[in-house]
Parts: sequence; C-alpha cells; structure tokens
Amino acid sequence: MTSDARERIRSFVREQLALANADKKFNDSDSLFVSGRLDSVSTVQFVVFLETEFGIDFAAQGFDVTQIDSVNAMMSLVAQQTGSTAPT
Amino acid sequence: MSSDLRNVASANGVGPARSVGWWSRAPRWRLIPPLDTYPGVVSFAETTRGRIAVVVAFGLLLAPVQGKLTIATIAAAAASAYAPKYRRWAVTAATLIFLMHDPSWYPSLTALAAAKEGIADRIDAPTLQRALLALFLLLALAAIHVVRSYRRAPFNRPIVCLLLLYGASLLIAASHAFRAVSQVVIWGWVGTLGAYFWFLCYALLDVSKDRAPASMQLGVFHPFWGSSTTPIGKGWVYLRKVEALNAHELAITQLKGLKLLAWSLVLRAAYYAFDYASRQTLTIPTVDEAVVAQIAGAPFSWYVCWGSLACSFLRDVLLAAIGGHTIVACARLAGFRLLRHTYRPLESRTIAEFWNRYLFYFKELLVEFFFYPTFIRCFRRHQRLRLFFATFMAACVGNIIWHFMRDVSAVLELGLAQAVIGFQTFAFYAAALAVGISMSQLRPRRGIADAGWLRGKVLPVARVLLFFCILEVFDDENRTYSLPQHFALLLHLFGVTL
Repeated sequence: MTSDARERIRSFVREQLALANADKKFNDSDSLFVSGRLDSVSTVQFVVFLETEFGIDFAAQGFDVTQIDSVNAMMSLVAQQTGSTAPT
Repeated sequence: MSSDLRNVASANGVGPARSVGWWSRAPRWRLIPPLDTYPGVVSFAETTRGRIAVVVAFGLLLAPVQGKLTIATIAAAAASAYAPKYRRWAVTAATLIFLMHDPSWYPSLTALAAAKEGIADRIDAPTLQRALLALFLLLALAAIHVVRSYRRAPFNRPIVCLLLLYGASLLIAASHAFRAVSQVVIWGWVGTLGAYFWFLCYALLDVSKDRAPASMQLGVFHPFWGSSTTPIGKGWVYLRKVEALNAHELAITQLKGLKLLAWSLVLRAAYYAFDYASRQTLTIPTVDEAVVAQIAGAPFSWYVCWGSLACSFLRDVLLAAIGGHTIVACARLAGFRLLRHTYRPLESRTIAEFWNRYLFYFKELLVEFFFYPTFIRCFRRHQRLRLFFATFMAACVGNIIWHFMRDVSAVLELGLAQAVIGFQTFAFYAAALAVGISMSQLRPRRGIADAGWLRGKVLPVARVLLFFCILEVFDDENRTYSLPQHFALLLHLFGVTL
C-alpha cells in the first residue's frame, strides 16, 4: 500500500512539475512549495489530489502548506490517514 | 486549473524552473553579472576578506537609499548572517531596537486624533505611540501564549478572533463614545493593531509549529530589513525554512542579495527618468487628475487618458519592484534566502500569473489567511465553484480588508459611514480583480508555451497588461470620488461620453 501510494504521489508531482515547466528531477525530501519550485496557488491541485485519492480531510485537521511540501511530507499525511507507518 | 499558474519558481528566479522557450536558451547579456554563479566569487565570499567585501559593497549600494540607517541595517544583517547560532536573538534585538528608536513606519493616528480632538498641544504623540507599541507587543506575547496553550475554540481560530478584536476596536473608536485623551489612545491602539495585524497573524499561525520562546516571534514584527504592513518574509517558521545553513549557501544568498540591491538601484534610476519624462516632458496627467478633469466636465483627450493609465500602471510596478527588491536584498544579506517580492510581472501571460509575480508576499498573505481556509472548507463537491469562491475571498474580500486597515485614517477623517462609502471604487476594483484571476485560473491554457512567439507570448502578455491598465481606473486611493465618476472615465477611454 505505502509503496503504491508513494509512487502515485511521485507520479503526480512529476506531472505538476512538467505542467509548471519546472525541473522534473526531484528527491522525496525536496521542498516543492517553500523552495518556490511550485506556486502556492498550485497547492490546490495537491489538496484535491490528496482528498480524492487518499480521502484526507483538510477541513477537519487544518491545512498548512508544509504538510504537502515534499513527497515524504505527503506520505506522512497519508500514513496518518490510513493508520499505517510512514516509510522513510 | 491552468498550467501557467504553477510557475512561482520561475517567477522568483530561485528554482531551476524557467521558461523553456528559445529565448531562455539564448545567451543573454546581463547588466548585473550573475556573481552567485561564479565559483571563484562564491569561494571568495566565504572567506573573511570576502565577507568584509560583500558587506562593504552592500553598504555602499544601500547608503543612497537608507541614509543614516545604513550602518545599523548592515550591522544587524551581518550579526544575523555571521552568528547563525544566535540568529534569532540578533534579528529580534535589531528589530526591537529599530522599532523603539523610530516606530513611525506606520502613520501616527495618535497625532491625527489629537489634532481632531483639539488637544494636539497636550499630547506627546510619539511617546504615546511608543507606549502603545510596547503595550501591543506585551499583548501579542500573551496572545501567542494563549493560542499555544489552549487549542480549543475560539483560540483554534486565532485569525478570526483577531479580526473581531480589530473590528470591535475600530467601532469603539469610530463611535465617539470616548472623548479627549481616551479617544486619542483608542485611535492610537487601532493604528498600532492595524499596522502589526498581519505580523501577529503569522506569529499565531506559527505557534503550533514553532516551539521557540514566544518573544522570538516579535523579532519579525516589522523586521529590521523592512516591510509594509505585509510581512515580507512572513513569520519565523517560514524564515527558518529559508535560512542559509552553511557558509556556501550564505555566500550565494548574500551575492544574490547584492545583485538584487544593484538591480533595485537601476530600476530606481529608470523610475526617475520615466517619471520625469512622463510628468515633466510629456505632461501626462495622473489618473487622479484625469478623474478630477472628468468630474469637472473638461476631460483630457481619450488618448491622454490611456497614456495616464499606462504611466500609472508602470509607475506602480516600478515602485513595487524597487521597494520589494531593497527589502529582500537586506534579508538576503542577513542570511535568509527569501524569494523576490516582484519578479518580471510584465512578462506574465495570464492574470493569475501577474498576480503571482507582482506582489508575492501580499499574494501569499491573502492565500494563507483567506484562500486556503476557504478552499478546504467550502463547496468541496463543486471544484470550479470551490476555486472561484476561495479566489474571491482572497483577491476581493481579503484585499479589501487589508486596504481598509491600511487606510484606516480615512475613518478618523471622514467617519466610518463615509469611509465605507468611499471604499466603493476600490471594492469594485477588488471584485473585478478577483473575477479576472478566477477566470484566468479556470480557463484551460495548456500548451500556451508552445503556441509560438505571437500567440504564445506577445498576445497573452498584451491582454494581461491591458486588463491591469484598465483596472487602474478603479485603483484609486482617493475616497471622495464615486464609482459612477470612475465609470465615466472608463467610458471616456472608449470615446463614450455620458
């Protein structure tokens, strides 16, 4: 489950970076938003993706862009949601 | 959402993301050499002699702008940069010393209220403003402590609480329930709370993520590198993420700061030349003068009015870039890899992209305090409506609240009702802007980069600039002209006379 989730998130990040004409190379710990690589408004895409793909309810738990700033951060969110351990 | 919204990396020149057109691959002549990309220069900037050279060069470039505060700014920035272990202390101490030395970066409502009450000779306005600032900082510490300690309602919605507090304070001040000294003190409180409102918002937003002493949060309440009422650099949580972590990063950050400061001076020279040419040589009126002439029944020619709009728009963009670059450059010298406040807005191909490139930290403020909270809670089953509504709350409602707070002296001068009525033109501006940004977000524009030079670059840029030029008609800070009077000018631009 976790490796599948990680791959889906990576794939989505790749897609968004391509749409932004940004460098498509990234590591799982690379900052996507705080570094300025992606627009803060484009977080919308990630919020919708995480809501629909993993059932994360940001309204209930609050939202902060650092929660989705990297693949690892998003994996932690997904792990909290599914109750599994976040892989490193 | 359109792909061209997602370009803040390119929009700030910090990430690897750049436009992929042929123009980006062609070698470019640069007025200011890219020092941060020369390995020899970076290595030198890491040495003691190099650091001294960077600081001295920065001081020489800053002196014409900052005047007598240059040495203090440079000293504070150097302390922050070269003593990373004590960076928060250095920034906090420098900021508080700067504030107590001269708190007049925001308008003194105490002086204005004292004059209004006819007791100007009995009130020492600067001392009262300092006292109110000290009181505010103490209350801010208490608020940070309360929000950190009690995570239940209403303290889990601190921004809403703050907005209610500000609204209540303003209503009390505007109601004239108090007189003389009490009234002056209340207005002074409204002015101080309004000036620091968004700084406190960031601090309260950060408390759950930042376990440092609450007093450290005050270090970035109008930090020593500067800001308007919009915190440039946000709060400590953000600053900690962008601080240079080693000597190499610091050298690159400072060289980028040096470049940016040099660029701001070039823009400053361009601004003076442009202003002289447009105002003195071509005698193009300001938008305000064009509105006045329109109201008086003797309007300028339509082409002069178009020139007035274009010049006003360019003037705004240049001033935003000059101010923002200077502030960000100082923060970079202090060791913070801040993104630029303004990055090539005139190259924007969509309205949303322009908004992103024009005033980055203002947009971030609206996004964080209005867009996100709305987006995660409202219309979650209707994606387009959800995006539209969240954008409207940020670009219109948040924009109006920010400007109303900034211009709160209008309430003191005109009264609350008249000040609200006087805001009608700006409210229309904000609504039109919100609709424009929403449309630009919702419109699918995939492949715009591949559409060729004319259709992919020139025409989209021209459309964006035209939109913002026309919007200048309503971006009027004068609160005495009505919306229909501004519409009369708009129609006149197209040859229609009412």
